Amino acid sequence: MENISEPIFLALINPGLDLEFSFTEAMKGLGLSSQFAHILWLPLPMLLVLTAALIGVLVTVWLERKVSAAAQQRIGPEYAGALGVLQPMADGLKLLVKEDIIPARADNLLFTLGPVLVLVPVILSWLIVPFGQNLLISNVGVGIFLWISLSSIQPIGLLMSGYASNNKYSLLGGLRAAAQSISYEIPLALSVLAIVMMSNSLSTVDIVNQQNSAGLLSWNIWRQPVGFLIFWICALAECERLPFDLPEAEEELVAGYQTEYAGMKFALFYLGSYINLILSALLVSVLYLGGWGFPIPIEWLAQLTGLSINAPLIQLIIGAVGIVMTILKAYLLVFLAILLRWTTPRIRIDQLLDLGWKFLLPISLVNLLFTAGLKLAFPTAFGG
Amino acid sequence: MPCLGALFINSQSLTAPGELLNLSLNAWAIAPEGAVLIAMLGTLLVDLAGEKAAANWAPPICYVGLLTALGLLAMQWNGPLESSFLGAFLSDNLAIAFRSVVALSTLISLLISWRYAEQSGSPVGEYAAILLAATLGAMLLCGATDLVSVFISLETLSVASYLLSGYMKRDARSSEAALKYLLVGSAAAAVFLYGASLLYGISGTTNLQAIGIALITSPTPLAALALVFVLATVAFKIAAVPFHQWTPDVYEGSPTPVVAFLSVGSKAAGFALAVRLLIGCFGAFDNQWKLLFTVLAVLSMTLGNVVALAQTSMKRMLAYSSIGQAGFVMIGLVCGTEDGFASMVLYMAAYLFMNLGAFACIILFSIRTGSDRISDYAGLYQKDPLITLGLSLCLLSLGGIPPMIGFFGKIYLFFAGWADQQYLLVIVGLVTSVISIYYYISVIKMMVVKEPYEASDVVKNYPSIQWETLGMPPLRIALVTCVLVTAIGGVLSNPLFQWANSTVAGTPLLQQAIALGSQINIG
Amino acid sequence: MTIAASTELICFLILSVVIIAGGIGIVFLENIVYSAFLLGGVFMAIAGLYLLLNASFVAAAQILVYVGAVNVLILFAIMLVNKREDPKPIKGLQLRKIISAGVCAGLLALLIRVDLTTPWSLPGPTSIGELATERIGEHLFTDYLLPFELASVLLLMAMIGAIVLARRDVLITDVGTGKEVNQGLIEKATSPLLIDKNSSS
Repeated sequence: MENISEPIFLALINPGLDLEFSFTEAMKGLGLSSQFAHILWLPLPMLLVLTAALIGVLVTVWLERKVSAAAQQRIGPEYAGALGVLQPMADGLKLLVKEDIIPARADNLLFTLGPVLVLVPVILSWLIVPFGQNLLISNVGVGIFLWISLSSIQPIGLLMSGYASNNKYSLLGGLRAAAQSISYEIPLALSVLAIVMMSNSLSTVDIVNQQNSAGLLSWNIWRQPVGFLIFWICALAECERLPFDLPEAEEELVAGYQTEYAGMKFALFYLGSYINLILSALLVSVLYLGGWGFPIPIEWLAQLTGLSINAPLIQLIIGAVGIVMTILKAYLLVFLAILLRWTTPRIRIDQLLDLGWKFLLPISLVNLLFTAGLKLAFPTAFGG
Repeated sequence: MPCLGALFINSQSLTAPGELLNLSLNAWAIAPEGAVLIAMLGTLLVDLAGEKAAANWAPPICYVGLLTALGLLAMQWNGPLESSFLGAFLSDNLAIAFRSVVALSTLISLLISWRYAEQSGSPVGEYAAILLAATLGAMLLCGATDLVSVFISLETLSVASYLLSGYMKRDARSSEAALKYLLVGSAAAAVFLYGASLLYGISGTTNLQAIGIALITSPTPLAALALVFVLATVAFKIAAVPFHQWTPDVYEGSPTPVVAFLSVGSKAAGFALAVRLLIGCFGAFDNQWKLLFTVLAVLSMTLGNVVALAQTSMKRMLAYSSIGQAGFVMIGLVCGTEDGFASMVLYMAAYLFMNLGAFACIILFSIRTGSDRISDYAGLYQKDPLITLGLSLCLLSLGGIPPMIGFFGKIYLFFAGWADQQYLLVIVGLVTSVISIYYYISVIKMMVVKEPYEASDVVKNYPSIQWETLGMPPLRIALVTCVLVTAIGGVLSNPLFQWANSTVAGTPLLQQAIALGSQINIG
Repeated sequence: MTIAASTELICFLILSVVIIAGGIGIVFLENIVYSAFLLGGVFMAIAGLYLLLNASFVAAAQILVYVGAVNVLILFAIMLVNKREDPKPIKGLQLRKIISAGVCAGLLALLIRVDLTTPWSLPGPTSIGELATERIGEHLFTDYLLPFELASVLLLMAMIGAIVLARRDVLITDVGTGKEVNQGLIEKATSPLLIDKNSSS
């Protein structure tokens, strides 16, 4: 009896959709032990999120093509499906069946391992992206810190593929990419730290919950406008998006560390960069834009309509709204990133490093200090 | 460790921020280090205004900082013995004595280094800042009573020393010295960490005192292994044979004022660390570490002094001589009696003045001639009597000739050793002292007993003596002070004896060890 | 044995094999780039061990610091100065290798012996899981406050020192006399250096 009452109790204090709990209950109804049900459950959210990420990439690629076309007064993909929505699919298929070329003097093992090392940490980071109170793969305590540390593995993969290609452009591109990545990681981590300080937790779920007391008004973007800007700039730099796409600056470096890659290995890089973009957008929405929160507090709406917040149907609606809100916010940011890409010129490498070390780093340090001061001065508003 | 476990739980259960702030840190104990830190930051700030401003303003800032630190140390003398920073630091008399030696050695090293740094074209402000950081690390190392503090302060000292020894970046010798020092030093740090992790694994705490108690209750072979690892690091820091290989190369390649600091300040911190770790922590392994230290001392005295005979470079000779001197100091540590500890402290203080005096002289010589070959000193007395006199006095003192300060220091060490029946050590010490006198005197002979036509080319072309250039007056002050203390300190050494004795009397750690030792002797 | 315990054991064994094999590879591989990449792998495997011990914060910090910073720095250094140059043969290298192998084997035997004879207090303290982050913070600001603050001085000094040693602008005049200088030791070289010996021969 006690074993069952505990999850119920937990569900009571954590209102919201708990799919795992429902799934386990359903499996128990079929006569399976709870342990076995747990093992059955484990791969499901991972597969779900992986699929979601892949679909997200397809959508983003389509968006990129369409928005770029609009920015250049073209039409863009048109014939593959309605409005060309199947074009990214066709791109992917093409890459899949292309010949996989490994240059003759390249280092075979490292050449193959490089793209994998770039992609895997990005996918692993999806572990901590919440779409609702219980709608994430794992609510690990170190949450956002895990993402920061995982994203620091990426430069190794970039260096590896740059080195293994045995091509000077690749090596230079890999070195540039790694330098850029480690330079912008520091202000990024510092601006995240300011958020963490306000919410007293590293967990992404806690960070969102702390922003959702008064809907739109309690989002972190109002309390951390500078942090938001720094984070967004750094996230663009980490994703190597224009204006920070120096590692693959085609006028100087052919295609940087990707020069020698073709076929599926190139697709891994391509996939990695877009998954990373969506991930960054999701995390911006989690850290600064209230995550799954609706602009008007949902409890307040429920009170207004006089419906019980714990009714199953309402729970389902709330969960669905949460997912939609998260994705909506993220895609708004992705749209912004695409617009930026097609409207801004690229900056030089020295300007890039100057911006990172001489401007963003001091500003983010000041922001952190300022936040700490505000937290001491106004504990209620800045999370005491 | 039930009692200490309770302490940890106490500190963990205090979660409210207000309560944490109310913990008595007893931060006054590190006020001298605070002065050094402020001086370091001040130097860095002044350095922003350009090289000229740094050369003018960095020296006074450093002097003020270090003199304040010395004054604060004097105020702490015989102060209340409360552990500060919740067991990370203890400012007992031993710590104060060694911290004073370190601070004083930095002060004198700085005094003699301005001209050297300027003449070689190195940035002066950063040089002073890094040297002050090394001092900060060394001073905290003298009083650290926690493995983590010990390690961090050790690293602060070491990293600063690597940077300083490679400071003449355009000179391949300097880079080579820095690289060698870095590689060997990192290996030593890794070995120390391994030993420290074993100690933590045995006792479950990082506090040295608590580890000591844990080792008494359960002396395991693992602890003996930890002892060996920790001892290796200590031996590396004080450059005892066979952990000395880095010394000659590093001393030869580093800028000479840095060598002066390394041979005194860094070594003093190393000895303080040895006392804290071996007496405070490995009390249960008294016989083992004393045996190991005896071996180290005998090897150091023999090898250091014998190899010094064959050197042609002054810096290299002083490097080997410093290895031998460390061997002498170890006699006092091995004794473990009241006299032993007191003689150790006394000799460290005496060594400070005579060694830095010798370095002041050879720096002055190399500034004027650009050479440190011993043969180039031939016939110097006719051109530069001050260097000749100063170097002669300091070298005689290092050799232990009465009535210099070194003689009294050495005789006290040998007396303490003899009283504690360390006959082997004392006899080796006496014999190697005689050997050392030979090579010290041969330098003096080179300077004094040469006819003008026998003088070296360098001395024949000796420049006219000038003291007006920027950075020269401090060098003169340091030189004269060191030589005066070396010459007169021996005759007036009574206050020094009293100071050394009250150091031992004001240190509970040493008193315990002495009491324990005498009990064993009686029993 | 429960599923969780056996999974843990299997993970531990795999990680240990990776760490040991990786460590041996780092030392013995001829190509230094491989060694550097393997080092990264070993660091990650160690982070995995921390995860097994339920110390997720330490694991994440390990990856951030050692893989993300230290190892990337090592790779940078190797790739920026990657001179494919065979080292000159060293006299008696074989003998040196044998001696150092003997010393290492002796040390290993000693460690294993000590490991087997020591009465370890098992099981160790229970892990506190997610509370660990807070606990680390508490320690840093109570009993480890002094080393924590000193570490900031250490890092500041290391940074300044690194910049001084690496920057290119050379001070070419003596501030005191205005003469030209070369940023070398004042003492002139008396005997040829190791580097000179190697390059001339």
